[in-house]
Amino acid sequence: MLESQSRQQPEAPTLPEIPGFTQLRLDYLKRLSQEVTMLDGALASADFNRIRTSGHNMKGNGSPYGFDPISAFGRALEAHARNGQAAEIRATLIELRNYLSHVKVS
Amino acid sequence: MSKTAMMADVRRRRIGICGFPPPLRQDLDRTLEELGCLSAHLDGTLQGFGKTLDHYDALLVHANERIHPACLTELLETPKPWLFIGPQDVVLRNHTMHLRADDVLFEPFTPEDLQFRLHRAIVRKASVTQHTASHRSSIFIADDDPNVVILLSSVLGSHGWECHSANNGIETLSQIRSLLPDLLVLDIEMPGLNGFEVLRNIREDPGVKNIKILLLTASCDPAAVEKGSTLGADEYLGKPFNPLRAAGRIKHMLELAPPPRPTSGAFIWVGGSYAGGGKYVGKPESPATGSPDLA
Repeated sequence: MLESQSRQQPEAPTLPEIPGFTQLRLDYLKRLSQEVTMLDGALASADFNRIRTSGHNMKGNGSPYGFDPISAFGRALEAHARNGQAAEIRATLIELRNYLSHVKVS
Repeated sequence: MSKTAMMADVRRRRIGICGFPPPLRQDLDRTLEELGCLSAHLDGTLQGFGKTLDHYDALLVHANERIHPACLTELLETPKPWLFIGPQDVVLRNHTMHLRADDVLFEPFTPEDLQFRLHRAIVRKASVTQHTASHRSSIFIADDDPNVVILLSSVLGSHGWECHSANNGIETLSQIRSLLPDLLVLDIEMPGLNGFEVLRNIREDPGVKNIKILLLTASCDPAAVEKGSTLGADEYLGKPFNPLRAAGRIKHMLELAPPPRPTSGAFIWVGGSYAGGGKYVGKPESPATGSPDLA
């Protein structure tokens, strides 16, 4: 479901009037890619609290940068981490990584 | 000038306080809180919290020996208005200080005395230096999510506001007590002290009680909104938020006068003793004329 949302390319900027917003969004995506790598490690060590916190933050920061799907991924990660659902977390991270590799910032 | 107009001119001013011994500090904090000011205590070197005097809109300096001699030059050269306060004999004995101060105030004095002289010093200095009465608003962002801090700082900075940030509750409290921001954007979920605990601490601290607070909450959590409101948040913003709307909300908050906050009771400055209940217990000398008019 989340992946189908992510296929709506390119991502339309919802906040075009913020100075330097495009660069802010590019930098954000770069940081998020690093975060996903970190989450892989957290999942390997079953650090669900770290994943929950990261998902919670993602839920709050995706939409403000104009990436609603990222907020949805974050919401899913937070929920799965609360329940200790490793398989679901792994699947969500795959979808998120796929989204990040395709999303375009105009 | 009406009391209301004077209140408007001193409200939200950052006041640096120097040299006052602890019992007097508390009275002064409360007085400034009543006037809607934000206040921070500088140490005897006038370098409290690593901030320069330029950070403050006005300074209140107590007449005693606590100020380091090496700092007198800095105080005497600052373009910021400052009041020299203390017992009459001590103030007058210190010729250099009392002649160079923008105004002096003798103990005991009332909050009205302080308001009048603070207002006059600020307005006079502003007219002399051709500064406007307004100052650049500063906003503090407390959030453990660096992505939110980066975005908000960028958006708010583009509006001309000065932004500072911290990623935990303890550092937030420490920094706002020195920076005295006009507004705090406060996330609830933070390590150390959470947002509610930070909020409670701020509203119980006279020096920073008047800072406006915009609470960041999960939009689907009415309980958090209710709790934040009970603890004294001025407004809340649900996450995820639209940064432009956040900026609009903050602009609106900065333009509004601060709401009256409940205090622990009326008080009056009586030169070192605190009298609750709103009853003046100063010396027979008229508080309104107890200090010289240097006009």
